[in-house]
Amino acid sequence: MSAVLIEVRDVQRSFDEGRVQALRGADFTIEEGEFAAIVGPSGCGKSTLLQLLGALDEPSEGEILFRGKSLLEIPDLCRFRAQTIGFVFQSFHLLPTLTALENVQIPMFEMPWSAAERRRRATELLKSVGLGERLHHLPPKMSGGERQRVAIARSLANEPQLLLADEPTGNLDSANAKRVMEHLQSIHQQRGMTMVVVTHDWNIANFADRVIRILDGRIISDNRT
Amino acid sequence: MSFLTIVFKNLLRRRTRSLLTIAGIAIGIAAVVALTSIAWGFEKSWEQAYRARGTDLVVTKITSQSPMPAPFNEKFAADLLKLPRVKEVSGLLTDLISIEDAPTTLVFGWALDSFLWDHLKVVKGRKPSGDDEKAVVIGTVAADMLRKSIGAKIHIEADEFTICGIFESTALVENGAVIMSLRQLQRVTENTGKVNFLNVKLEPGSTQEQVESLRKTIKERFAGFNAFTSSEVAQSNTAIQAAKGMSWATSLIALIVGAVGVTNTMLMSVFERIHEIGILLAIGWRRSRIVRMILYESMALSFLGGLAGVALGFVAIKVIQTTPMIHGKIEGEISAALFGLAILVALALGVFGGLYPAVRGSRLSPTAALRYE
Ligand SMILES: Nc1ncnc2c1ncn2[C@@H]1O[C@H](COP(=O)(O)OP(=O)(O)OP(=O)(O)O)[C@@H](O)[C@H]1O
Ligand SMILES: [Mg+2]
Repeated sequence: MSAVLIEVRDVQRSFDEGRVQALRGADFTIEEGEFAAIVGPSGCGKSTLLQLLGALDEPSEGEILFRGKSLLEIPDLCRFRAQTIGFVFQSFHLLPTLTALENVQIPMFEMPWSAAERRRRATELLKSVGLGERLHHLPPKMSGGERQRVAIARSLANEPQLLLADEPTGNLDSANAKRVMEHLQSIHQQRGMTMVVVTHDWNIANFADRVIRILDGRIISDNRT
Repeated sequence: MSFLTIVFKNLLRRRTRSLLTIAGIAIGIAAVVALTSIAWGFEKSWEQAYRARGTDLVVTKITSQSPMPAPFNEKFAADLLKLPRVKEVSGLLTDLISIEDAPTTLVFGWALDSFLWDHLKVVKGRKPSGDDEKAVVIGTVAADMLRKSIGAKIHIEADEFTICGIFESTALVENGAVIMSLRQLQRVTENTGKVNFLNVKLEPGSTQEQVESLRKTIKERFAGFNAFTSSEVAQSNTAIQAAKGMSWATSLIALIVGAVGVTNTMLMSVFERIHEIGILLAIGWRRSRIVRMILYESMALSFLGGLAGVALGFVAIKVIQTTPMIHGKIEGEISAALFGLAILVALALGVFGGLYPAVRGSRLSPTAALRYE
């Protein structure tokens, strides 16, 4: 078996002084190169879990280790996110006033790359998701599928070690959803990228080679295919 | 794409708001520029006056907060003449008197044989012929203001004088002044035998150090008296100090208003962009970069406001100089130093105005900000 990338140790997350128990105890590992799907109904705690994995949020109880090191010991989590994690969100989260090419370059400011280097990398990434002709378009003028592909290109900007996607196809029709998932799958296959995708759609979950089911803040099953 | 591209694109999103903020800063900076320029110009024209008179040191009695130093016995001049390197000492009386319906006018009483007359160019008529003649010469600007020419009568305090000459001086303050013989002004202001300034001229070729050491000697030997170099006289002049103080106070108010405007604009802009800031934090921008983005935005606004303000201020100076109160007396100083100062002040305003919004924006929690719609 390959090395453990992320270890989730008995993690709980509650909100509003314990009144809302979003995550009641998660304990699992994600190995390098895995493509896992987290599946469950609305409100079961999928996004909460994904945000914890991506160091956007901190557990109320328990801890999360990245390559054996607790996230709590990482002094600069922004920097850690910039260099190790790529995020894709349901509603794309692109900056509306910047072009596709500029949006992809946003995370690159945290890397020691020149402007020309940033531009070259962003162009290449957009080409790889089939948007070579859309470099200078603004997000509001693009289709949902195109926007999500820009977001995927952006998530890969700093060559992350882990790609986290929260309902990446939630705002797309089935044809575009399929296309986006195929892109994610090929990134997983070609780059050996570790990937965790949150969804409530089994068609999407079937792209992954591991399915973690959550209900009511608890993991109820965890199957590798 | 550079970091500044993001900054400018953000500012262009709300063009009207950005322009209004720039206009607000511009007005504040224009006020600073105009007032500072006038205050500096005021000081400089006094300095010129002393230089033009060929005066190395000016001796006055130490007086607290009064526009003109107190008069003292003119015999004191003889004591100064005994000091080493002193070539000439000339006593004079200076007062601010309101003459007829003109604004307060500088009136000088100069001994008719004093070296002070040397730098004046009499363009029309002549200087008073003797101590008993009730005659004055007036500067070209004073002639304009009083609307008087040669031969006209002029009322000063309770007396009547004849204008016997019109002069031009290289020192702007003097052009707006009225000059008569020392004896006459002593009589009119009831200061018989008294002067309030002694202008000291040293031997030609005296060095800066020699002027300085003479100054020390005077201060040590004659208690209650002070000696100034030309530029110091201007700096210690109460009227000039008051003008400078007013200009600073007004500038400060203008700047506070400007800074509040910047803070308001930037806070609005941060609140509108909570969601975007959440995105930036989520994809890994460090908090310091968020601070920098917002600060650069406010500094870009204030820099542009500063440029516009300097232009506006220079126009304002030109306009102010044509008003009757100021015309010909003060030349607003338009210099690189003033330009630099204004731009620095504008940038500082951008930093101060943007600091709180920037810190506010950078402290957002990424998950809460992402949730915010
Ligand atoms: N910041 C918060 N404050 C209070 N409650 C929260 C917060 N974040 C999440 N919750 C609550 O925690 C629970 C889990 O939320 P989460 O967003 O993880 O669900 P989800 O599985 O992603 O749902 P969906 O499929 O609808 O996106 C929900 O009941 C939600 O209301
Ligand atoms: Mg969710």
